[in-house]
Amino acid sequence: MAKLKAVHYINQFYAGIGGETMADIGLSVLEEKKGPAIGLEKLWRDEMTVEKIIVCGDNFINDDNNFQSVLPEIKKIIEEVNPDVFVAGPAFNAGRYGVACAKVCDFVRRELGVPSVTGMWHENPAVDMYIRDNYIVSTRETAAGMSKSLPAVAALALKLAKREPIGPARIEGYLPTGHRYNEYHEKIAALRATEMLLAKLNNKPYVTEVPLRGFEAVPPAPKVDDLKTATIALVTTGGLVPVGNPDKIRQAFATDFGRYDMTGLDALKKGVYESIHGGYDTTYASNDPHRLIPLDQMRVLEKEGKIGGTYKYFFATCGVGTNIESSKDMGRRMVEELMSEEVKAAILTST
Amino acid sequence: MGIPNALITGFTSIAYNVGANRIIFGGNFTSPAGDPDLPLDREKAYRYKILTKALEALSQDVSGPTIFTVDESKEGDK
Repeated sequence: MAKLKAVHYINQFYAGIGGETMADIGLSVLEEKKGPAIGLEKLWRDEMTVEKIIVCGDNFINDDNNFQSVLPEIKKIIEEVNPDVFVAGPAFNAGRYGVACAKVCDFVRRELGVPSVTGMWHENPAVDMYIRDNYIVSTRETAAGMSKSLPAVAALALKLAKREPIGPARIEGYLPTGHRYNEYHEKIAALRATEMLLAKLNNKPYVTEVPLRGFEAVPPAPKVDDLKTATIALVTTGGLVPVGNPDKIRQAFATDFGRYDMTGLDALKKGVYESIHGGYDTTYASNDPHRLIPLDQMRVLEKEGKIGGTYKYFFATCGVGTNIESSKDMGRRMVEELMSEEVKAAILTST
Repeated sequence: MGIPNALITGFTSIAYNVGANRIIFGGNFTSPAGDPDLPLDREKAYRYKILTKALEALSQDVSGPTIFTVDESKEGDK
């Protein structure tokens, strides 16, 4: 059987071109084996060889325009070699190198259909950006851990090249992608759950089948000093929009929000507004929109002098299946408008 | 730094676990600022109490996720 073929990506440093001062250098191809490729080939024994090594400076490739400009070159190299797998790095905890490795892997896998793998420290910023659809093997923090880190990269690369089925992250050594697959198990779920519970109660180790996602902590904003003069905004993730949904806000997986003028209104009437949220029974919300945007009682609080005012627009989106990046983006855009309009606080209802 | 936000929700444990900082326990999950089981006037009074609680949360500093509960039973007078 013919040997399997790999193409390897490294930066200027591992190619022996230079360190930081050479980080602006453009893309080139090494014909001789240098850097981690030597170690990878040893680990692959006679099964796979590195056919070509692509080198690019970390600063150069992290510039978006430059990146776009080198993609045709990368495509040409990949099409010439027709490799069984593409390997980048490992990048350890080097931020720019990590992003370069991950984005090149992402491109080669997605656009050219070649399985790809890179490796890096789990806190490398590239992990959050690219982990969802890419194999990123967990490595040590610095290049001093090269010999300890390379075997897992080599092993996964070989498996990918052979088109063997790839097992779960904790067994193959890549960082969890968040993808979940069905598999048959000799024990039913109730039994496995009970065993986990017993292990937990007895302080014994166990491995969850449904890992919870970690959420980044947001520091609390300081309080409002004087409510009596403060304008307050109303926001909802409960999907309240004018009937007919003029902005075509998505009922699920929303990436945008609507802003609707309440100037001169004392109430939001049924039949004028409705909830288009795709994740709960919206009957009650559509029957009385104040259950999502409590304008009626805000007007009472205004008249009583307890608050300065209610911001003239309410913001609405649908919070169902909404990913964190979209949510952060919407939140940033909302707060940008609110702060520029001197709004002091928000009240957000969530269904 | 942004502006403070009071989150009114029927699912306080979810809000707490994802790290919302000022959480107000609302009516129920389909009607966070209300309660469809109440007659209209009492629901309005209840909504007023929820908002009053939200204002209370906005006018104090918190060190991390904090749950504010509307006093007494769900309904009540102004």
